[in-house]
Amino acid sequence: MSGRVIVVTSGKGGVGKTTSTANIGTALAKNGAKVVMIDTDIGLRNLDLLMGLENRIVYTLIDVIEEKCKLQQALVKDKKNPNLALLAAAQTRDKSAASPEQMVEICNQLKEEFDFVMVDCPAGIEQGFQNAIAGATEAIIITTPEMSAVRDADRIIGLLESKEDILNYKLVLNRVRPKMIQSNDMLGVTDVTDILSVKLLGVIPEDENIIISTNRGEPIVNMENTKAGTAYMNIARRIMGEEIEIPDFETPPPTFIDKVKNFFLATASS
Amino acid sequence: MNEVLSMKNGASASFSTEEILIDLSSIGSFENILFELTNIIEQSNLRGKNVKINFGDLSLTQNMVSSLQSVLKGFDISIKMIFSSSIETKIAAMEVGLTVSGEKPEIKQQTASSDSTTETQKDEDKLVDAMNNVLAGSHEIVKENTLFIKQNLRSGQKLEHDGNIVIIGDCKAGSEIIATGDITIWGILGGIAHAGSKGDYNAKIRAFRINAIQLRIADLLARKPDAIEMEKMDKHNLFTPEEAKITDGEIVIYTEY
Repeated sequence: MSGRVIVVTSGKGGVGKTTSTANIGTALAKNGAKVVMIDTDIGLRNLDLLMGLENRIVYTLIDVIEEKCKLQQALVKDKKNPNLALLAAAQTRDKSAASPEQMVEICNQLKEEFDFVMVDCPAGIEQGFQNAIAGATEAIIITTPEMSAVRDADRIIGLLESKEDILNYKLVLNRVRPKMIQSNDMLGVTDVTDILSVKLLGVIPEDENIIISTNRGEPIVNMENTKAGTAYMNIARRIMGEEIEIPDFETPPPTFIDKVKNFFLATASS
Repeated sequence: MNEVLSMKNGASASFSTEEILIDLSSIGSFENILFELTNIIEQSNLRGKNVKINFGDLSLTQNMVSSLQSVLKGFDISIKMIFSSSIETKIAAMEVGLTVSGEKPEIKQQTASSDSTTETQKDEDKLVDAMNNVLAGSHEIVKENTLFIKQNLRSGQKLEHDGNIVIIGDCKAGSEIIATGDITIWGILGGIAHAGSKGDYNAKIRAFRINAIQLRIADLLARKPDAIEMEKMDKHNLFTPEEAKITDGEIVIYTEY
């Protein structure tokens, strides 16, 4: 069996790469897949914090690379889901401590054992990015409906296209505010997919619960009935091959008058 | 795989695919260090690289370290790590924000056989001392070299020392302190602290407040509980100093001595 190695990347910082990695990873594991998440943001690690696993880290990715421990020893099991593991980045080192060749080696070892290897990429297009994409065969590009984030995503897509190993990449549009799109104050979902001309994997609405989840160290997919949590669960199911429609955030919900009109039209036609 | 550039005065630079180590441990003075460094830079292409430098036991002041840093910066070279056995140099390097290690860097050509035997002997002596202390039921703070630092240790900074470490300041989450002896912090401990790193079960960790992600003493490990609450750091709170030590094979934090 060989698992899928998916890198989560964006170019721009702060658009939600780590949050998305944590939630998609957790959601995949909740659906029964064996998942490992790798934090490649060496020196500025955060994935462990979002997962609430910070206090369990003894060995890191760099210890594995430098052969101070075995790969198995460095995998931190999730508190709730035994199918989910984390390989943390070292905090007291920098990006130059790892090389793309070493990352390929680690990804290859991990995909023997896991169904999904989710790689959390650092911001930027320098060595950290090169390390993160090295072992991946699929990519999820995260962007927000802002011009700066979309530009950076476009640059990233260009870099991914020039790498032959990446067979498949899809877009996740994060922090969408339907009301602002409807009042034409925000780039719409189709605006972004038109600019980037990539397939859409999912749309995450802006959700205050994300802040609560981050501070608690508990992914939002583990919280009941949240907008963002549901969106991430759907993304995970789409990754696993299910056909789930992406909800429409662009057309405003029908007003009361519309509803009355529709009612009369429906009764008239029948 | 390792390429080594050796200079007349015993200075050397070794290059591997991962790192560049400049060994200046045999150079006796700051002026000569500057001279040898420029020689090495002239003879090899280090532009845009990160280097590790071994200063051996030479004492450098903060001004010296920062001027070295700016000289190297002129060549577009940044210092990744400093190795030194001198406490002055360690403190100076810490103060300019460099990563410091007290351990000897690995250089393939160095054969330190005579050194290592004396070191193992020393270690054995220490072990005997420690055992005697345990038998006598008391543990005195090992009177060996103590690294004394007055600054906050922030995320990503790592301090390693052969001996005791005393820090006046806070150690933030994401920082790492490793000492073969005791660790004492005149502030809040929020990162990872590893006392007795060479196996001293008598080592202790003290701080105004121990809020560490992980505490390690010798080969034992304790982690912060998974409390689901937001990190609150009320600076105006009155602290009761805390001490962590091993009791019955577990790391226990005491608020009374």
